[in-house]
Amino acid sequence: MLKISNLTKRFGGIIAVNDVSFKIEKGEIVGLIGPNGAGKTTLINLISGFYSPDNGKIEFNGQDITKKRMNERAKLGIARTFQNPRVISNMTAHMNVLYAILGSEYGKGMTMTEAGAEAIYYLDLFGLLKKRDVLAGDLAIYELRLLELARALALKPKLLLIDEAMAGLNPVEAEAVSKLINRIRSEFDLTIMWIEHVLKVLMRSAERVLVMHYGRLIADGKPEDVVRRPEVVEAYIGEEEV
Amino acid sequence: MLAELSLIVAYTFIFGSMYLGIALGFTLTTGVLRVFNLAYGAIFLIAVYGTWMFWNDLGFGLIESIVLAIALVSLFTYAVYRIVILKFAELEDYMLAALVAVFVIIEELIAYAYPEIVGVYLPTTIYGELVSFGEANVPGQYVVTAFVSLAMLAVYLLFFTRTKNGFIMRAISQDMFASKLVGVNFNRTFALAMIIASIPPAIIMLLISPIWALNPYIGWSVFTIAILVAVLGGLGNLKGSVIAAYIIGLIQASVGFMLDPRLMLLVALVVVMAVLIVRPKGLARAETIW
Repeated sequence: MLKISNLTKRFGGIIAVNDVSFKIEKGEIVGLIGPNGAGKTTLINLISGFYSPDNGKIEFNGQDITKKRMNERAKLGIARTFQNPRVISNMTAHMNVLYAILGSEYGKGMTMTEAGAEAIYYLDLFGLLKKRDVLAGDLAIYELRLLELARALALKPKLLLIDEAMAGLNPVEAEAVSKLINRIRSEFDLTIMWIEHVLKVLMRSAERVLVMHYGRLIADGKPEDVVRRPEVVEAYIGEEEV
Repeated sequence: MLAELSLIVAYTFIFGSMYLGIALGFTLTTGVLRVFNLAYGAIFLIAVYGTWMFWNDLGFGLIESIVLAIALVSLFTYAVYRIVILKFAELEDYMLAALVAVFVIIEELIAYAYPEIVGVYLPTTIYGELVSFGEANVPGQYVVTAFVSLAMLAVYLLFFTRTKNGFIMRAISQDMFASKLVGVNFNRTFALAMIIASIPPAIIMLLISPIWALNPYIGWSVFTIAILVAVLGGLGNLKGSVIAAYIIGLIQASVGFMLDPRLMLLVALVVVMAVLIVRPKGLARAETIW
């Protein structure tokens, strides 16, 4: 489904993503971990079209999307969430999801009423029905994470990129979000690439984990194998936990 | 005194509504595209001189000429979007210079084709009688223009609150980045916004042309009003523009009837400047179209 070949992104003298190559097959849930500054978010930004790479190629379902813009990639089926949720704060939760539906290919043929009902379905799926008329800017961080996921899912994506969905959440909330992600993955036949800073969050969900360090991909394998590799342990020295 | 007061109230309504119609499109392009469209002034010229060209020079009927002129205005704004705004999207300074250049080119072309001496006059009067407003009598055409302006505001509001494209434009005006995430077709939405923005000023200009003396350089003075309204209201905010239009209408009506009509624009400019010193972002609190 997703093929990354020799992807490189530089910011001045810093190489944030350095010659990274990997593939993700349809239906996989792949964790992406690494210490702070490893290049994880930059990689997601490159895949979603937020940044353009300096070198390398990104293929999605056999199509070269390296030069496609962010909105074009969204139309092809790549949706994402952000570490700091990016929603339209002056619009209600319902309007944020409605907007995603109206912007999507399948939403083109819908009336406002039909799209509104569809938005309600996604809000309900994420337990946000009671917050439908609350401005997104007034939502708590946990609700914002759910709203971002609802909006991303409303695009009917094929590939969902999740950037630290647990950041800022307490353990109960993190557990709830984790369960929801697993649920939508199976219900909606999604392929997921999921960044988390702490590996143990991904252990129960991810079948495969990629590890980045200083912009390079240093490990790729099953979570339980990857955490034992010396290069991964070394990369995390100084970090709180692996 | 009562007659004076009636005149001020009547002309506050007339000027306010008219200025709102003039500024509606400018507010829309500023709000949705985040572009200060300095070619906007050319719309006023193309509307009236285009109608004159089709009607007087090419022999079309008046209604057909108006429709053709409005189509020409839409084509012009679409071309400005495709050729100037898209081209210079990443180079704002160059874009602003290019937009002014477009305006001046249109102005000079019109001045060449129809110098002031030609005496362009459009018989677009809908109601030529005086209308009583309390103790005051005001030209009926002004009142018609004011109500048409309010009708266009109502259409804009329905568009923004009831239609898919209107909703998408509102969302883009609030957060362009978030819009990219959901796959919105920006080119199509921006082109549509540019075209929709060109229609109210064209219609208002056609309605007031029988009252105002037309000349090829009238675009600047009308455009100045559009900028004043949009800037005082808070760039790109429709609610702010509505309030600003009537404030400027009140200032101009008061100055015109109580001080000196020649000071109308000057006082409005000074007051707007004073307000902007206190509130640099204008009257509106939200940086959104609605």
